Amino acid sequence: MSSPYKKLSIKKLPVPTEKGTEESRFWKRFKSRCSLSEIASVTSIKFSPIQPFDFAVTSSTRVQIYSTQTYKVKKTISRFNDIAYCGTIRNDGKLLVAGDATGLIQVFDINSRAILRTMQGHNHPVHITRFAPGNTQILSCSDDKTARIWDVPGQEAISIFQEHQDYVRAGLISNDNPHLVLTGSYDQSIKLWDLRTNSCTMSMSHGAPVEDVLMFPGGGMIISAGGPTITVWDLISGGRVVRSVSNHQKTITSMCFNGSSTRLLTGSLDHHVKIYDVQNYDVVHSIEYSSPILCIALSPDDTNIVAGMTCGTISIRRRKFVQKELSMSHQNKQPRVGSYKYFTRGQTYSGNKGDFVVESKPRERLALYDRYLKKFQYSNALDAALRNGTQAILTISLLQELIRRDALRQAIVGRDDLSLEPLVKFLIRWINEPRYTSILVDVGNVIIDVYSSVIYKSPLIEKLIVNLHAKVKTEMNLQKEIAKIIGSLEMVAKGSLLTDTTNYT
Amino acid sequence: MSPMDTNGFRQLVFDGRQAALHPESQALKISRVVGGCLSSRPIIFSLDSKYFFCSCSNKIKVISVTTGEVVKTIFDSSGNCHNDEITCMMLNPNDPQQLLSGSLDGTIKVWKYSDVELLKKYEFGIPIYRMVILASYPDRFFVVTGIPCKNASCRGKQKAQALLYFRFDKKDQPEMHLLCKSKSMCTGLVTSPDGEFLIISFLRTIRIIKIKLNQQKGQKWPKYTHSSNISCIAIHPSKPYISIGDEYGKITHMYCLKESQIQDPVKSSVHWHPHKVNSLAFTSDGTYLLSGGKESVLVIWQIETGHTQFLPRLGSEIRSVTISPDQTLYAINLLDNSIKILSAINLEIKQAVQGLKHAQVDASIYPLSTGLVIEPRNHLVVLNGLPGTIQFYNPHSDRHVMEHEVSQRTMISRAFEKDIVYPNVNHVSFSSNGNWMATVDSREDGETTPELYLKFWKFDPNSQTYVLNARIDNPHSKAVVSLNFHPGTNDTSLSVVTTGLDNKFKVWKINSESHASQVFKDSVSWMCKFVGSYRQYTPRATAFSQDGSILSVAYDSIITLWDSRSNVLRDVLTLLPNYEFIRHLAFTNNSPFLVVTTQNFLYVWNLLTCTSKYQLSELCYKLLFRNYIST
Repeated sequence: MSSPYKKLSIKKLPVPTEKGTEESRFWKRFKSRCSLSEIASVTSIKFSPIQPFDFAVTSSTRVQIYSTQTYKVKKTISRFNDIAYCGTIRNDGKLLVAGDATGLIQVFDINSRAILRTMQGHNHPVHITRFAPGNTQILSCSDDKTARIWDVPGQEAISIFQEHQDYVRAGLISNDNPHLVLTGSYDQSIKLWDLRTNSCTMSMSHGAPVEDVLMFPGGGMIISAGGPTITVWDLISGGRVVRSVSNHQKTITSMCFNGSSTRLLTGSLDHHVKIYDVQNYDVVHSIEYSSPILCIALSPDDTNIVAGMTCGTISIRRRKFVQKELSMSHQNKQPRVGSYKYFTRGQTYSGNKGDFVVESKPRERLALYDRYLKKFQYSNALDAALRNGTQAILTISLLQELIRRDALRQAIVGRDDLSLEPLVKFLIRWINEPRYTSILVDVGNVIIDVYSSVIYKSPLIEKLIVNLHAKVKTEMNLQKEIAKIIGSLEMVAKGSLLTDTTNYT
Repeated sequence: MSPMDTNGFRQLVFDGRQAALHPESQALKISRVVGGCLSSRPIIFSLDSKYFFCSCSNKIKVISVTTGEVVKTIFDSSGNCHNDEITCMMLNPNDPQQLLSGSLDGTIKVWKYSDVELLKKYEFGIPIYRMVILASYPDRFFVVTGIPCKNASCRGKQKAQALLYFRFDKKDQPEMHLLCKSKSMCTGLVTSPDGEFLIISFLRTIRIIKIKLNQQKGQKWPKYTHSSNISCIAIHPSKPYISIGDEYGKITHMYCLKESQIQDPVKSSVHWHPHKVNSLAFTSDGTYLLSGGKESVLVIWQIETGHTQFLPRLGSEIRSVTISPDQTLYAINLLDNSIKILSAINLEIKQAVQGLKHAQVDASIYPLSTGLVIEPRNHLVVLNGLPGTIQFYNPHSDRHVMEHEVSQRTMISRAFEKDIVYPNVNHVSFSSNGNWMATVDSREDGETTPELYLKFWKFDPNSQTYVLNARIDNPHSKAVVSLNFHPGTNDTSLSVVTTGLDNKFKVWKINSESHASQVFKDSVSWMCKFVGSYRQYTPRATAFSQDGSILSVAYDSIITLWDSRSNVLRDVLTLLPNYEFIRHLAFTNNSPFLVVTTQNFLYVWNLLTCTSKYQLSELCYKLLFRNYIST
């Protein structure tokens, strides 16, 4: 061969320059979506702190444990007499605690789903149950305006905090200092309790019923959510407000940190999840959901965002792994002897640095349309580029090449209605895409030229041509409208520029 | 302009330095003439097949097959060269060290090519188109002549041509006989290998002459007429037939050389070529016939079996095919001014000699629209090549350096009568350090939607070529008139200005995201930053001042000066006789002057005072202008 066959060059169209930051690109990677539905609104989602990061979903009168690998239910715990609240998995992933609307607190073994302990004392619904870091105590917050610390082996309350004036709907035990308990209540106050003195050591007023509280690692700073605002408090300087941010339209129902506590996620009844940088509390990303959000959780390895909604839907967004992360995990696997992989191992080995590489000339593979183009079978080439699943830009490039070769008519003539159909369908689909219009108008002209005398004979093509006509007409009207709007906008703009006497643009 | 600058394509490169040193000197000298048409005539191999001769206007180049270098040029300044184009060459059959060349100036010269020595010169007094000498009869020539045509455009399309027989006596006085004549042009003149027959073909007729010099009246062959226009003929080396290629691509074998078959020759034909067959050649053993034509496919026919072998995609129309004496090389002259030497064994290209392209294309469809652009990196001349490409030509060494495909193009021959319209490169411009190149190419066939692209190419130091960085579809809604790079050398703040017939000029700026993350580290793109117009006049030319601070855009007879940084109109200069349109615009180096040319005038503006300094009426302004550009 004197010179190799030149493959069809596929047009590249300009891509709009990506605005967004690194941060928003990261959060946008949470792409693949999965929706699970529960029978009632989802009140709590809690991840297990150990691998493989299963999560407990509390909804109606049951707690279900889902796997993050398959998003299937692993366990269902439904031994509640009334609506269950706040199913929380213990640090070792073996036990689960949940409260219910009767005021009962139950501890389950996750594996056998057996009730291990039952704690009675609250006479109103218990909305918050938490394990203490030492794993032997439980914090519970209830609508009877109290928060209690329970001893798990003894099944009895060892501390009762009674200073709140309204429902206690938020609470946690500090991970760094297990003597500190933080609760938030509908009486708008956040209180810090010390287990050593069994008294309230600090009380802060949020200004709205407190829905959730979070504590930074170290225990020096806390965040409270209530109403549409979050407030950051500095405990060490005596409960000073560090920052108060309001980015939601409606009440914030839930908050969580990412794995390294550098980002804060808030879910709200206004359907949005917002992600904040905790350095400056700027919103770095925002995700919209279909329903008001009641609870939000991010898996400790930052791969799954799970949101529970009022309609009973659980939405899971999983982050796509970057190729690098994946290949890292597969690197050390040796293929089994005798397997296919074993015999093809080392195919991609590219030699050591100093090696002299003898270049091999790989046989060039041509795509089907290229093979037809090489043989000047234009009609077949066009068919090959119109097959289902072909990218539009490829078909456009081929049509452009046919026009350049003065072979468009050659490729279009001599078709029956069935073989003409894909081309006309392609026209209908894409003729109003501004980047393709000029080429497709030429193609349309040739089709009309060639087939205008026989179109009426085929009802199929006739219908398609009518569709095409309608589409072109709509587009023409649209363009006219756009021109009108541009004209009127220009008038407005010129009017505002009257003071500027320059006569050039 | 040289007197020979009529047929072959010429490139004039002016010595810019000379003009810069002596701006007052009126005499601009042509320092060098380079280029030339290499492939218009069939080449000749030397007997040992190590060299080949190709005629280039009035010179003959001796080129080595192994290196592709010009070993010698048979052209000496002492007036021994031909005064007009060389039309035919052949080796002296009695002494293969001698090369004969026939020319339109009416002479045949005998050269000893090994040391470029003129041995003998025969004066004919009539232009020579083809010639034949036989080994057994030295000093006797069969020459095809025609009525000389003064008009350069019809040269080579001679109407009436005749075959004459010349015999030179001891005093070099010619004795002339007319053998045959025709009202159409001669399409081929061949002799049989044993020197018995001389066959000449005209447009439709073939005459066969049996060479018996003692008695002119021998067996007379009739005048054969062919059914279609003949384009070339060849004679089989051993069998008594000739092969005729015609304009419809058919190759006809006519068995007419045996005396028994004179009256009613047997014909057989083969047909592969869809277009005109330009050349036919038999191998010396008569087993294979090579044919080539407009399809740029070399076809090798095995005569006995009729088996065909193809060598496609040679790049351009085949003009002639030559086989070397030792039968190991095929030489193909292509229309794109190149000669390709193929190995007869595996049909791989062993050597290629490329001349300056572009003259072969129809200048009315594909004009030399880029002009001559000096590429800043190696100071090569850049101009249009084949349609859709630009070529880089080194004028100092007279070599074609590189062809750059601006828009991808597959060379295919037309399917019907209408020729295929290829994209044409309209403008080329380089950034001042040569790292960037901008091109404008367009395609308009009058039927489909015109294409217009502005492309930005980045120089790739590894491959030493320009790599496409950005393509802008339809940068202007009508044709682009000019394209200019800002003279800045900073690669992060380059800008380009284009003007179009849509009465707008646009400033394109490079957009390198230095602040972006590592993912988009080397993402460089081009964006339109400014669109300007001035009272709906059509912009003609643009120029940047040397420091890049001023952009001047010339409208019909108005020059506007813009601040190139803020894109604000600074001043408007008007030419006094405003009936002439501005053609060129240039800032002088290191002085605040702006030089403007129209068809008959040259203006120089002082930009400090905004007054016209000189106004010259000069006809050869264009030469001056080129110098400003090249310095």
